[in-house]
Amino acid sequence: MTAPVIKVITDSVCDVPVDVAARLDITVVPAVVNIGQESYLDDGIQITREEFYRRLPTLRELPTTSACPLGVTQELMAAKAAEADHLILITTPAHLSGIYNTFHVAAEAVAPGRYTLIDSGQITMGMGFLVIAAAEAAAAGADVAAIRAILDQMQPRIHVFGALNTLENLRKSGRIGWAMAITSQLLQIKPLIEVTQGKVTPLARIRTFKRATERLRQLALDLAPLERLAVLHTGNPEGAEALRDSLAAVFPPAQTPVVHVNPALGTHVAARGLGIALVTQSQAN
Amino acid sequence: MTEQTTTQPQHLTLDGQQLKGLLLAGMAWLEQHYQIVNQLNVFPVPDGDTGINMLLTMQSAWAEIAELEDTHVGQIMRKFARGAVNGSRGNSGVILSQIWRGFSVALREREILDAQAFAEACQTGVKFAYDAAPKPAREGTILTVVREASEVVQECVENERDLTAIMARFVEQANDALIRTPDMLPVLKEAGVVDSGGQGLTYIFEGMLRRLRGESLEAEMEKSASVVPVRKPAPVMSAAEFGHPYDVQLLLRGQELDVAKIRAAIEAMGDSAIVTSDGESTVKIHVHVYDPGRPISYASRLGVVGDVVVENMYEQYLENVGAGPLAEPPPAPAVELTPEDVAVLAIAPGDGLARIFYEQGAARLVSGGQTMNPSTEEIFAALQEIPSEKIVILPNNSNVILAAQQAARKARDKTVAIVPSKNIPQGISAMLFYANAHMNEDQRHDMDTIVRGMRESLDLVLSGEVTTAVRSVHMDGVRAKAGQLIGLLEDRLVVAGDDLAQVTSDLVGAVDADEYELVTLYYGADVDGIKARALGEVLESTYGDLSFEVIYGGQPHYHFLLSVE
Repeated sequence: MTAPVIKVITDSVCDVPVDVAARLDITVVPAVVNIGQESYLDDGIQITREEFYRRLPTLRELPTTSACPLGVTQELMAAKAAEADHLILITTPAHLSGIYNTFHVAAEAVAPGRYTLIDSGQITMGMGFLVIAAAEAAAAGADVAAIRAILDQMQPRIHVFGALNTLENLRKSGRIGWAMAITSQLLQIKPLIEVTQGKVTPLARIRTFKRATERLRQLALDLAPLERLAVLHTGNPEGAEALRDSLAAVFPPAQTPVVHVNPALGTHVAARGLGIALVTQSQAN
Repeated sequence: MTEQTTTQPQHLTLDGQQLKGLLLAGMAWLEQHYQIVNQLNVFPVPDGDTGINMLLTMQSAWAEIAELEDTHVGQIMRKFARGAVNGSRGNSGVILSQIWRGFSVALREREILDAQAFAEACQTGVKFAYDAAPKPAREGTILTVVREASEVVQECVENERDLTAIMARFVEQANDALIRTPDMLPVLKEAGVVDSGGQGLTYIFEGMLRRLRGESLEAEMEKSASVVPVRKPAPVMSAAEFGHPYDVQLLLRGQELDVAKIRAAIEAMGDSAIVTSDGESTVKIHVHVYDPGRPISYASRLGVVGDVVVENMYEQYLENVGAGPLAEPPPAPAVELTPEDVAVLAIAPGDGLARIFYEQGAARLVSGGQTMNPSTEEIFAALQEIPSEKIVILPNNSNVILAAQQAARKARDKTVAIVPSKNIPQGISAMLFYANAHMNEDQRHDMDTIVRGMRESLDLVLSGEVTTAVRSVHMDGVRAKAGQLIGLLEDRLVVAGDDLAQVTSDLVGAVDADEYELVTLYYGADVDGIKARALGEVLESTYGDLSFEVIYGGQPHYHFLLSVE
């Protein structure tokens, strides 16, 4: 008996690099970025992330994101369903986005009884690591139960941290609620945040971005040994590469992807922010 | 009781009331001379004046015994020392109070004071002074003066019973040691002064000696009013009071531009002139003028003019009147604390600075700092008002650290730690660590972690200041006249000049821009906010690699405090 063919489908909030997705045959359903009256698929074609972050500081109104239209989702999913025995669907947390529901409806239509829908509970590469792990396991012939076990085991070891260059966008978007604890009416603050289960927790008020970056590095060092690492940025590739190289002692730079954070998160983080996503090694290792 | 002769009356013993008279005479003689002591600052900046600090310490001590009719020397000295400790302010005031505490311990059981008792008191006083001083003890200070004087007393008490003669030797040796303080401390030598605390102590014992000799306590010098007015910003300035309304910035490109000549011409047009260049082809010009056309047409005669920005600052000022810092409610704490929480008590001058400390979670502010050092008692009272049992004190001034330590020792029912911030930027840096720890449920009760982190935060910032020189000085290779503006970075004199914007800009120029990212300018009570912010924008364009933040500090005397990080 041959192993069942399992394919992984996710949405673009996971930030899995294009080459990795191609290599592991991961289907990424693009979310929709709305800038003013214009809508673009976050597919790297209609609007690249470089372009998004170039434009972000100049926009009076903050961009919003929404789920991919059901039709497009269904089409992409149907193509994969034709090649696979089973689909693993890993999405942005349901409490943050309609993507989970869209995936559910689409999967019911094109692959009823042949899919497993998973709320990742994470965003950006925190979610991306789950997607990659699932695809790697599937390629290695793991079954659905084994894949689920891998994801459950990885979930608590995922950490996502960010250093914001400005609180401007959070003020604009009215999401100052969680930011209140970290903001200052008087002093310039470069906040350090943690993203867990899609929720943002303020970690520290820091006065300079350099020091905030240093703290990101320190967080990674403190959590080492690491199983996986990615460096995140919102239109700050030089800063991201420097951060990646400065972490060479805990993780090989060649295996550390540097990724543009998706617009859904980036719109709040604002341009020129930096972050890290990592998975710590499990105790067994 | 001994007979008084006309020239050198002998005193073999003194009772409590006579000792009281001596202490009063010491205070009075210091009062005659405290301004001289004030002027012995190493740095020509208005700061914690040693003379006034020691005098206030003496006055607080005197208030405890003024009404006492006790003749018991030990009783008088005990209360005097207690008053000195409670009222001690500034490092010299604290050390002085410890000398008196040593006296009181040595004399506790003494009905009367004789030569032997005085010698013991001196010895114990020296011990207490050294114990209180920062370690390692620095020679060339009040410590050296009191120690050497006491050593002479120990020697001569072997065969001398007359307190007048012994006191004369004390004062003689104190003066001798005082004159040698510049040889022991290079900073004194460079500033061309003797140690101020040592001088204050010498005056006190000179006054006591004069009393023993029956000499006059009226100094032969002219006394002048000494009250330092605290400057407040004017409510609304008229256009005339405001001065040059137009802020003009432009970029001049040309061939072989003579920057010095252009700077002189621009400076002659108005104030806040800043002229900088990168070589000879581009010159950046900024100036505040009445006629914005003048700098522009001047520059256009020399080359190509671009990036012209003209702003009417007076109009902006009028728009902002009422919305400025004065219209805001007085600073108040922003956090509620439980007894388990670690709390912060900060010492800071100025309502703007107080507001920053409160916003970052300070439980209580004691007003003071550079020029007005709070007393041990004021700090102690504030400690008592804080509901927490664990308190960190941020003195924010090196001359407040000892008084803070003394207050901490007094507050026996609380755990008090001093994080020795020497200036406001260090204090705010430490305060941010506290703010972060306070957000964290695991850390907010953890005194050790918070104190360690706050201490480590002190060194994250450089501190600078722009103020007016209180005397002429030549130090660190810079010459400044009294009344000129001076800029200091990390206690090093960097620049002197007559224009606030240029001096501030040159001071920022001394910062290694590769090393640092952010310069925060806290503007003082006498600086207009619009002009301060305009200066911030100019600096931002002058020093492209640094970013600038301009915040109202409200501190007196210091036009700008700079934090570089």
